[in-house]
Amino acid sequence: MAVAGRWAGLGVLGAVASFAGAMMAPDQFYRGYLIGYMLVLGFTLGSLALLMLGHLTGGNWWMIGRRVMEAAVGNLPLLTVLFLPIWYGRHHLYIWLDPAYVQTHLSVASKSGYLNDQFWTIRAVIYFALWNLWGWALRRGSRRQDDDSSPAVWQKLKTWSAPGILVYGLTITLASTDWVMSLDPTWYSTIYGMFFIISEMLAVMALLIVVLCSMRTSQPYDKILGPDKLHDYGKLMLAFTMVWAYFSFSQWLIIWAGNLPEEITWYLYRIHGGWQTVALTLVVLQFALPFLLLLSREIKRDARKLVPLALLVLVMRYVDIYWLVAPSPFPGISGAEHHLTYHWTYLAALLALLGLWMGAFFRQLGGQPVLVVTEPMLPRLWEQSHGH
Amino acid sequence: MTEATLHGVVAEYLTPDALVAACKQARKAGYRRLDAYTPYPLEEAAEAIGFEKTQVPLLTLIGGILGGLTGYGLQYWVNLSAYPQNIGGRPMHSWPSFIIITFEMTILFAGITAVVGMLTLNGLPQPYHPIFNHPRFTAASRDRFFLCIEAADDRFELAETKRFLQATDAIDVAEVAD
Repeated sequence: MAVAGRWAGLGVLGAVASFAGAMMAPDQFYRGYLIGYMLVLGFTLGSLALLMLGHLTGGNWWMIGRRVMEAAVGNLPLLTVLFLPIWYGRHHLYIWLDPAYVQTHLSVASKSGYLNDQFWTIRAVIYFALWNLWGWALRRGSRRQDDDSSPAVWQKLKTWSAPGILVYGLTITLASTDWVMSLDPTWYSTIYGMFFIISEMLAVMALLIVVLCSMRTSQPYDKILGPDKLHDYGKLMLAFTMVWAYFSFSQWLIIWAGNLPEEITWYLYRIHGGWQTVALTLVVLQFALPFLLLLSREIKRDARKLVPLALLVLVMRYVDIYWLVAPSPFPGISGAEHHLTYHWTYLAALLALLGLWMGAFFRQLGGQPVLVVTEPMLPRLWEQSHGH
Repeated sequence: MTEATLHGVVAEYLTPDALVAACKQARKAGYRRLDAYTPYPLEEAAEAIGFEKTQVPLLTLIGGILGGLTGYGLQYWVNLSAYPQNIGGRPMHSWPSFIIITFEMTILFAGITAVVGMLTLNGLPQPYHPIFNHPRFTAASRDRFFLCIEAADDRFELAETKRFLQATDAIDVAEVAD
């Protein structure tokens, strides 16, 4: 596919620039790489979660977007490899790996049973092993469904999905703690894992809208992706936008009300030194604007209006992760002296990660039937373009 | 039975497609007082009989905004003038802690306005409706689709309207008393 090639080309260009960035400015580069990595990891893990959810609950929107999500899940081996730079550059990212820092911070020292180099690495290996296992099982079952309509295959996918949702919930909570929350090891938030789960699902919903609508004029989508189906996607994106705001606000309100030094500093870093512009942008463009626009029935049913909105959501997903990661204290720089920056290596890392991810994604999307034809509920998409 | 006590002529269909097609034909023929009855929500039929937008969403929005203002205003009044309390040295007008109540009141008022507004506008509960005089109408909640052209329609003429409905894919056409 030409699209896959163009993205992969962009990814290779970005990778070359990233390599130069890693040599010239490793401190900045690894931060930018972590931001970009959490974005594309979110596309894949969010797809994995929604895929399993769909196996258990079904739904028209899910049948239409299923193979798109499976292509995203197929990027798990790629993401496993792309995690290596984070592992390699971990000493540029995590101050709790610095013994001198730990000695002077009692609360961090007391966490060293969990936050230490070996255990952190072992946990990362476990996360990727579990994600790859589930990704592989779900995709293999799905491919078998292409020419085997027996309920046993279908049932097996359900059997994988039910515990898989639990595994996803636990691993993403721990992984987001290990890779992002621990950037500021004195701070903690108990809603952090939930926040990552909902952020990933929001990103996947926006990605599904963009990808499916780009194929809207070709078969079979011209027959099945009518305004009523777009309406479903719009409603789900509205719901996830609201839950994102709900979790973000819950975390902020509790910490604001407590006003404890070890908690509130996390926000102080992020609403001073220029970061307040980013915070305000998130409130307006990740919540207020999409929320108000998505209330409209017309916008949810019209691809020409829904796609730009989904693109905005995707851009804001990146901005949100940037706001979570970049103002943190890093080895050599404390949170308080960390003013608003966007280093060129951040962009290089983003291009590399997004390009490679999209290239592999479109290649897998093109290499399989776009619908699972043995899906028992599939004929419904055609015979009932009306009704529910 | 005279025309004055006639509710309308009702046609029965086997499939949603047949119903939607008949609705479109009826609109095209100039009939305006139509109603379609289906076992499950059928957006296309609503569009085909020329169902226009309702005022419920607008009412809900207004209700929601009023609820939000009420919730915020109540807290503002309580915390700043009625019972001012110094809580942990925070400002009297601590807007972040007002948000939850504001949000809940928005939802509450919007929800109540939606239900009350819907009931006011559609006239429910309605203990008597003439369409139930049709002997087979209970099938509308099982597997049949009905289209009623009401006698109140300007173009309604018993014989002609019956002929018109019989020409569609209807499996049965019947008069229904008012």
